[in-house]
Amino acid sequence: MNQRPQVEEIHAEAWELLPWLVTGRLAPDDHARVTRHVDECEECRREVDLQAAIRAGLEGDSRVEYAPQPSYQKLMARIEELERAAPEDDAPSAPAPSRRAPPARIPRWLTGILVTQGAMAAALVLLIGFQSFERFLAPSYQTLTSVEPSAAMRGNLRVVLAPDVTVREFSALLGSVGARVVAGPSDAGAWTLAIPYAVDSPRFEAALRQLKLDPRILFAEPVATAVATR
Amino acid sequence: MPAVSIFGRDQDHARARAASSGEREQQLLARVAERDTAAFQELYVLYHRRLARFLTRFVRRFDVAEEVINDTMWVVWRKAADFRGASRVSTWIMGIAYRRALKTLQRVTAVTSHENPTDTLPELTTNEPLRTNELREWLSVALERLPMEQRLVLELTYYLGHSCEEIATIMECPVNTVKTRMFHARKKLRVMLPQLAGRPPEVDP
Repeated sequence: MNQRPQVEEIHAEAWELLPWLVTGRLAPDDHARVTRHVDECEECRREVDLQAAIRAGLEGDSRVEYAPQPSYQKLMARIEELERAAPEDDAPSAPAPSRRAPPARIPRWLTGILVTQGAMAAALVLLIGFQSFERFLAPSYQTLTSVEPSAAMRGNLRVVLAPDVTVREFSALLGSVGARVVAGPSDAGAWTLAIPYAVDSPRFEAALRQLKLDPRILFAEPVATAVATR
Repeated sequence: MPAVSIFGRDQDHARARAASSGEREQQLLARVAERDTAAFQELYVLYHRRLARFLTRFVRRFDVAEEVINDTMWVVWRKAADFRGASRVSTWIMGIAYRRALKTLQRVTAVTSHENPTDTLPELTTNEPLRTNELREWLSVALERLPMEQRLVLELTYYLGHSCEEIATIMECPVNTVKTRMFHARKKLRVMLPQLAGRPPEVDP
């Protein structure tokens, strides 16, 4: 029988895997099979030597030394800024049931807004994955109705960011509307922001409109109690 | 004695190293999920160098690489609790970095992923035996001439030590695509670095 095609097939398969033979990152079965072939194949042994040389050249390339500390400090400063005064939303566990306001307390007007935002909310639920819609809604009113924050911590706007928004972009967005983060992200990924204008003022409306028009913001609405003071 | 028997020992050492560092990184990530900043700092320092090297090869600019590093680690900070151990921590983090870098490249128009075809390569041959520094320099030049995906597969394999399957996860592509990218990268390197192959340069890349 002509075994030539089979030999060539084995050689081709082994040839593809040689780089990972060199790094020792083949699955045990592949490793045994490739090693068996390489033992008998001069061409593969030369290729192993070549790949080992390339690996040595890439592994030892340290022309640039990186100093992580300044970048780390920069990141932590941003994280602290974004998460300042947000202990309740940062808790890894879900909020206690006693802190959750009953659904009946959702104002009718808010329900209307939420219904019209149905498509967006559904998309958010998909993005968030396992989060239920009810759970997504919960943070929009529970904190401000069940726990009265200090004036410094009070937020008047909730936003949900698109998944690919960077720290720098978020910081720039906050700066463009004069907002700061007072809490978040919640379990559902919502950030509570404080904009230094009255909720019913034209400047607040303008900032809200700007955020809603920005494709990096998936959801932006005034928080319940802030609006209720109208 | 067979020339490749040493790879049995290398394989064991590589597995042991991967298991040991993977376990440590998983512990750190679990602490990060609990908002432990000391653990986050350790993880950050651990990954900064790897990410910087990988991302500099990727986006070709140190400032952009630094931006993507912090975006990546911000996601790690926010999503640590979501890590379920389906992959190694390093695969998870490098996957985040890869996706972030792709997004950044789309945004930063000044950074293009232009690729020089092999027919415009400078002459890299020399009559002297390769020394380590020369080899590094040549590889650095050669890698810049490779298409981005091929360059990244080489980096992920040889510098970061990922398996073929892990690279497929990071780059969100089939395993066979990884093999193909590596195959073509090797072929082009053989053309560019004939001394390494111990034979004259091939005519057809």
